[in-house]
Amino acid sequence: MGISAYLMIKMGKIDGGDGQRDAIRELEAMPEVATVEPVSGQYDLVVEATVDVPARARVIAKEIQAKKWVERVHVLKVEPAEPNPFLDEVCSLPGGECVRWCMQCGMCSASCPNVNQMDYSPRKIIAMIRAGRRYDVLTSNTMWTCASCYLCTARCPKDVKITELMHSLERLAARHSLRCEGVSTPAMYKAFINSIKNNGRVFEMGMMIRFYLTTNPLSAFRMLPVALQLLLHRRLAIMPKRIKGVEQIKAIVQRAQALGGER
Amino acid sequence: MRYYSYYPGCCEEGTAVGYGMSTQAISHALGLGLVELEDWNCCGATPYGSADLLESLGIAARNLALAEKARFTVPDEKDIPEGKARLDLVTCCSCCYNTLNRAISLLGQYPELKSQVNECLAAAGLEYKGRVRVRHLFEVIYNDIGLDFIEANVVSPLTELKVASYYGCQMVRPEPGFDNPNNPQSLDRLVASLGAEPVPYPLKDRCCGGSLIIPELDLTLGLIHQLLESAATNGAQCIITVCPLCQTNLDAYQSKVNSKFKTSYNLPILFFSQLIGLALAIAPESLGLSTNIVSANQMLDQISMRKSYAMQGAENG
Amino acid sequence: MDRKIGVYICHCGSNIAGTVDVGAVIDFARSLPSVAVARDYKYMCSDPGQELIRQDINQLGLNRVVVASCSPQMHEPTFRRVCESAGLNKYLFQMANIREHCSWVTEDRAAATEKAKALVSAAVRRIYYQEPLETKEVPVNPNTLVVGGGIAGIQAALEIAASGHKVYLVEREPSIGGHMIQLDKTFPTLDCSACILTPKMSDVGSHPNIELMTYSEVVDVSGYMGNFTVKVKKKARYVDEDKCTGCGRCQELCPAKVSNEFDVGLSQRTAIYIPFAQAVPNKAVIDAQHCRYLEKVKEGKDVCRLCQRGVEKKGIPGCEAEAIDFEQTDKFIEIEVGNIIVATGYDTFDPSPIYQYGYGRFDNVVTALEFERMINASGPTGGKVLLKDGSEPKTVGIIHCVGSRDTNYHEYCSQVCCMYSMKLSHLIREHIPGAKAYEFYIDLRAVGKGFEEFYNRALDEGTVFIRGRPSDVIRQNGRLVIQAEDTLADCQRIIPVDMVVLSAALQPKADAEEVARLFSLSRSADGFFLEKHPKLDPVATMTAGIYVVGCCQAPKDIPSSVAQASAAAARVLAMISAGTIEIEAAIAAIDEELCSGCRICATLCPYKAISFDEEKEVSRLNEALCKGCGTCVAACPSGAITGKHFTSEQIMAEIDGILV
Repeated sequence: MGISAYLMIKMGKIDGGDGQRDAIRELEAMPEVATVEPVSGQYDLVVEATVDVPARARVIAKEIQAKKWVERVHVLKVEPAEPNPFLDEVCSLPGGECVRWCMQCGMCSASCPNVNQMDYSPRKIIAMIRAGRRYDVLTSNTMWTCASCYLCTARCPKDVKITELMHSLERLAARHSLRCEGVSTPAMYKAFINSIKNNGRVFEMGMMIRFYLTTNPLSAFRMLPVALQLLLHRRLAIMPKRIKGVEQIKAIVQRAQALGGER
Repeated sequence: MRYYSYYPGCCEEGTAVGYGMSTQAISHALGLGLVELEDWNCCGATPYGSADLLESLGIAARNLALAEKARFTVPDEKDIPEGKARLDLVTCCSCCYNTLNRAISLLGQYPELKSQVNECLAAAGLEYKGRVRVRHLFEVIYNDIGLDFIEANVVSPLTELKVASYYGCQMVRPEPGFDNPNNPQSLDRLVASLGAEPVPYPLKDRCCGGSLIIPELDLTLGLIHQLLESAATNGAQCIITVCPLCQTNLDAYQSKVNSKFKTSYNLPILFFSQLIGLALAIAPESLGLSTNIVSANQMLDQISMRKSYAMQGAENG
Repeated sequence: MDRKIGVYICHCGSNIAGTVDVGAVIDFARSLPSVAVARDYKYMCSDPGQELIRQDINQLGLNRVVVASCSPQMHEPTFRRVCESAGLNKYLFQMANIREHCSWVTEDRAAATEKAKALVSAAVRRIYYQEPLETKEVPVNPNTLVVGGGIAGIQAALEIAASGHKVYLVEREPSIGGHMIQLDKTFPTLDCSACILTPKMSDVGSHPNIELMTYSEVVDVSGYMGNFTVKVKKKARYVDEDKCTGCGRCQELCPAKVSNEFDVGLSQRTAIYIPFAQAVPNKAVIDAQHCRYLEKVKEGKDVCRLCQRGVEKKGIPGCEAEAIDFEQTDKFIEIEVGNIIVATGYDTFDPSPIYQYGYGRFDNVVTALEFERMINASGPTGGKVLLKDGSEPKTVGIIHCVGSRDTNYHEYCSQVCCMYSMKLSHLIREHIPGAKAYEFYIDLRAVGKGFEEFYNRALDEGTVFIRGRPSDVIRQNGRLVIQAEDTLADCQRIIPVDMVVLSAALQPKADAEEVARLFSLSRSADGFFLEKHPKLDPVATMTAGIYVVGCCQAPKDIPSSVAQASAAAARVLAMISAGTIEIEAAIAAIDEELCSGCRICATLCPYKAISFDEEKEVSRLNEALCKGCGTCVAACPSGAITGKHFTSEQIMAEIDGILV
C-alpha cells in the first residue's frame, strides 16, 4: 500500500557460491522486497521493501536477521511513498481538510486536559497524519482519551477542528481494523450504541453491565458503591425503556450501512 | 406562555431525573411550555459519532426530522402555527445540545451528506429539511425569558449563598454562541439575579471528563478533583451545572474523589433549574433535590434560616 | 469617414493561447465589418508586438486599433502610447480583456473562445463610434501634505523638504514622534530609539520648508491629483505656541491627574502637559476634557487656573511667559497641496479578550509596549523593570504572536514581534543581572539585515526558546505559571515566572475606516490601507496623488518604514518635477442648450465637479474634478450630459457586439 522501508544489511561469512549474488537473489525472493542494491561503507546491501504498515518493516528486518549469512540489519528509515495516502484519506473526510492548515503551534496540546495520558499529543497526531504514519496514529490511544471538551477547537489559531478530527480517527481505526490495546473506551462506546439499536435510547444499567462483561468484570466492583448510591437515589432505571420507533432506528441504521457508512 | 419542543435526553430518565423534575417544576412559573418531542431517540452523543458518521447523523437527524414535523396542541391555544415554537427544539443536556447542533452544522455544510442522511431517514419514512434550531434550555431562559423577569419573580432570594457556576464544555464551546467562549458569564448573572453570590473561579469552563468516567475512572477522577478544588478554595458553598453528565460526575463521584485524594468535599451539586426553583420557593421535593447524592439539606437549612431571620427582621421592623 | 480597424490578438505566452483558440478568434475578427487587418502575436506588449501596430497604422492607414489581450489596467497606457507615436489619437484605441475576463477565469476552451470572440466583436463595434479626444494638462501644486508624524511621516517630510519644496506635516497628537519615540532600544543594533529619532524630529521642527501642524487633524479632502484642497482642524491647545517656552512650570502646578497615554497607562500626567521631554514642538497643551477650569467654565464657574495664576499664597507664579490662553478655539485652515502622503501608523492589540493569558486580571502580565515604557530610562519607572510590588522580576516569560497569526483575532503576522521579543529578553538580562528570559514562539521570523545574528546573540546570552504557543497563564502559589507544549521536545512545559510579557499584534488604527473614507483609500482584508500593487507599487494607492507609507499600510519595522517613506517622497518629487499632469479626456460634457437647470446632476456628483451658473440657469462642469464616473450622464432627464468616450452609441454598440 505504498510505504517504503529501507534496510541496511551487513553480510557475514558466506559458504561457497557467488556469495553476494545469491544473497541478493534470496532477498529479492521475499514477497515485500522491491529492490536490493550493493552499497559500500559500513553495510553491504540496501533493501527497499514496500509494506502496508510500518510495523511490517520491523518484522521483515527480523526475518532477514535470522538468515545465517546476515551479520547485522539496520532499519534506516520507513517512509510513505508519495503521494501520501493516509493524509489524503483524512483530508477527504468531511471537515478533514483542516489538517493542512495546522502550523504545529501546540496550543491544542497545551490546552488538552488529558494530554498526559495520551501516547501522542493532538498536535503530534496531526504531524504524524501529515507524515503518513497511519499505523502509529490509528493504534494510538490519543483519540480514545479525548473527552470532547473542545478547548483545542475553540483556541486553535488556524481553525483546525481537532475534536472532530479525533472522532474521525476513531472511525478510521475501525475502517482499517486497527485497535489500541489497553483502552476500554471502544468497548464502552460499543455497549452504548448497542443499547440505542435495541431500545432507541440508552439504558444505562444495561450498558454498564455489557461494558464490564466485555472488558474486565472485576473493575465493576469499584463502581458498585456509586451504582448503589444512584440506585438508592432513584437515578438508576432497572428496566429499559423502548421507544415506539425502534424499527425506524433499525431501518435508518440498515440503510446507512447499505450506503457503505461514512466512517 | 412560550411553547417549545422539548428534547429531554437519555439521562433524564436515569441519572438526571432531578434535572427533569426541576425543569418541569419551574417551567410554568417562567412561562415556558415544554412539550416533549414524541418518541425521541438517543442523539448518539460522542460514542456513536466515533463509530460511523452516516449512522450517527442518521439517528441524530431522526430527532430533527420529528421536531420539524411536530404539531402539538396546547390547552388554551390552537395548533402552533408555522414558524413558531415547533422550530425550536430545546434540550437541557449540553451533550445532546452539542451533538444535535453538530449534526445540523455538518448537514448544512455538506449537501451530499445531507442527501445521504435523508436517504436513510426515508427508510424510516422521515425527512430532514434543515429548518429546526436546537437550543439549550439555559440559553432559552437567559434570552427568551430574561433575567429581569426571573429577578422580578424571585420569592426567596438566596441571600449570601455562594454559588459556583460550572459551565462545563459543550454548552459554551465549540462555536461562540450566546456567551463569551473564553470567559462565560451568563450563569453567574443568573446566580446574581436569584439573589445569591456568584463565586468566580478559574476552572469554571473546564472538562469534567464526561462519559470517560466509565472507561477511564482514574483519569476522570483527577479532572473532577481539580474542579471541586477550584470551586471550594474560592469559597463556593454549592455548584450549579447545565449538563447531566457534569452533575453526575461532580455529585455521584464526589465520595470517590474524597477517598482517592484524601479530601473532604461536601459540595451540593445542583442543576441550575433546581437553584431557580429554590429561589421561586418551589418545594425541594418537586425539584428532585432528594435525588442529589451529596445532600443539599445543610444548604437548604441555611437558606431557610436566613429566610426566617429576614422575615423576623421585617416583622420586628 | 471610412473606418479602417486593426485587430490584434495577443497570446500572452500561454496565458491566453493556452485556453483561447487564438486562430479561431483571428478568423472571426477578419469577418467583422470595417476590419482591415487582424493579426496575432505572442506578446503584443513587447517591442516587436508594438511595432506591428505602428507599422500597420503607417502602411495600411489604420484609423482605429483594437488589441485583445490583458486588462486595460495593465497595458492600455502602453498601447495608447504606441498609437500616439504613430500619429493616431489615443482615444481611437480600444482594448478587449480576453485574459483576466476570459482565459484566466475558466478552463473550458470552447467557452473561452466564444467569449473571446464576443469581446472582440464588442470592441470592434464600439470603436466604430469612437472619436478623437484631447487631454488637458494642469499644473501640479508643488506643496505636499504628510499626514502623521511618526518615523514614516517624518522621513517623507524631510526628504521632500530637502528638495526645497514645501511640506505640511499634520499630526494629531501634541508632538510628533509616533510610537518610535516610546521605544527604548531598537533591534538589531540596540540603538537608543530616542537618540536616533530626536535629531530628525528636531529637523522637522526647525526646517524652513516644513510647516508643522501638531494637535491637528485633517477633516476634509477634495480635489484631484496635483490639486487637492485640504481642510485641517487645528485643535485648541489653550497655550500660545509662540509664547510658550516649554519650561514645564504649568505641569507642576496642575492638580488634575489623567492616565498618561504616552506611558500606555503606567503613569499619570496632568491636564496641562508637555507630552514628553523631547517633544517637538516642546510646548504645553491643555487636555480640555480633563481641565477643571474648562469643564466648569461651561457652567459659568471660574475654578483652578493654577497654571495661569500660580499659587498666590505661596508666592509661586504661574506661567511667566503668559502663554496660557483659555479663549482659544479650534481653528480651521485650508491648504492647497499637490500630493498627500498618509502615514498614520498603527495601534497595538489589546490582549484582554484572550482571557486565558490573564491580561487585566493578573498583576505583572503586561504588553510589550508597556514593558518598553518601563525599561525606558525616561519612562514611569525610571528604566527599572518592576513588578507590582516594586521588586524586580527574576524570571520573565515572553509570549509571541498574541493576537497575530490567529483566525480568532488577526490572521496576519505582525512582522516585528519576534525581533522585539528577542530584544526585550536581551534588555531584561542587561537591566537585571542573573535574570532568566523564556520566549514562547511558533516560528522565529528574523529575516532582516543583522537579524539572524541578533538571534544568535540571544541564544548565546542564554534566552530559553520554547517552540509552543502557551495555552494558559495561571496563578499558582502566588506565582504566574505559563503552560505550553514544547513541540520540539514533545513534552508539556510548566514554567513559573515572575512576569509575563505579551508580544501583542500591530493592528490598524481604530479610526482606519474614517481615515480611509477621508482620503478615498481602500483597505485590504486585514484592515490596513491598500497599496496599488502588492509587488510593484507598494506606496501608491488607487487614488492618484495619495500615497500610504509606514505601518498604516502593513506592519513593518523601522528600516522598512523609512524606505517606504523615501519611496513615496521620490514619487512625489517626480510629480512635482514634471510640473504638470494630464487630465483624462474621458469625462462628462454638458450641452448647455439641452440643460433644463434641474440640478439633479450637481446633487449626485460624488466629486463635487458640477456647479450651477445662476445667470444662465444651467449646470457647469469642472473638467479637472470630473472623474468620468457617468452618474450625471445616467441621471440627466434631458439627456444634456454625454460621457465622452462612453457615449450611448458606443455602449449600445458594445452590447450589440456581445449579443451577436
